[in-house]
Amino acid sequence: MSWAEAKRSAVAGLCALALGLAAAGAAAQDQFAPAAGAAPARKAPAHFEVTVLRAELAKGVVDAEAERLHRLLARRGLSYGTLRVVANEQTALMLGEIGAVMTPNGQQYRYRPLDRGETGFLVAVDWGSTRGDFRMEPGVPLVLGGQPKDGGQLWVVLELR
Amino acid sequence: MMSERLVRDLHAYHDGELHGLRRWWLERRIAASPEAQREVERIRELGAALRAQAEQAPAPDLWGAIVLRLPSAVPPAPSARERDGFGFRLPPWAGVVVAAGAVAVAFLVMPGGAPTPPRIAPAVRGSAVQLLDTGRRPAVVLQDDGEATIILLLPKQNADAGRTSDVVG
Repeated sequence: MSWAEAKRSAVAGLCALALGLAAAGAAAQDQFAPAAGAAPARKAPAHFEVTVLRAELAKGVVDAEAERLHRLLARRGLSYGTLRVVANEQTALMLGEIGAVMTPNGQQYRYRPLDRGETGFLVAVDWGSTRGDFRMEPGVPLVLGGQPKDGGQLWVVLELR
Repeated sequence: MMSERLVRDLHAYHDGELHGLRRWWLERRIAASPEAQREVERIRELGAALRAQAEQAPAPDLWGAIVLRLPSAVPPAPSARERDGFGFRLPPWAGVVVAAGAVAVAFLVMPGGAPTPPRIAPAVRGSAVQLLDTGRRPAVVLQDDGEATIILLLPKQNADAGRTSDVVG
């Protein structure tokens, strides 16, 4: 075997080894990949939808986007004649990042994912003098309300998507 | 009408605090002014009255009797090591921290006696609400389950009326 042939076969062997290692890595990744609905990927952002609503006792309109909250509140004895969506935003936040929406009373509603859990996130929320930490899961809205505004009340719905 | 400064100087003169040129100048002014003479006389009378009142104060032997009874009521002063309790000297602000902690604990354990509603609600097992601080506003957790978490902040003026609703979770 000439020197050139030996060099070619060595290079081919190394390439085959690299390909083999890459294939094995991909297979292992498939095997240990999280199933759908399992814990969120470590670096995936938290997707939020935040909706600001204004409620009044006076008979008026209940926006279609507010019907779910309207039903939830009515079941708890809080019945409003008018429930209008003032603002609606969707955000994607990494851990520690802060999302904010301005409410009509001039205060900021801020939310920040602090930690990642099995199925959701620990989220810090502050709105005016109120603050809290909440375990949030997709599809379970966090509803905070009661701030007065022009004879009505403001409600904010934060939901993890 | 005498100036405030002159009255102050007359008091200092009466107390023997003026010397030299200032004393000489003030004595001349007193001699020339009946009003200043009356003021000096008034200061003298005031001093005499104060001395008379001081003489009528409780006799020293009464205080002595009290002092004599004190040692049986006061425990002996602890050594520095006993006082600190840890074998080293605590910093001066440690007392303030301990006092603040004691006040906070007293507020927490006081049954219905806290002047303001509880501000921070502890986490309830299985609850989405891990911490809730509403400042001085009362709040009600209307719902906290797998369907939704709903928190209603009550108006501040209802703080006293809504105290029973402050407990969350």
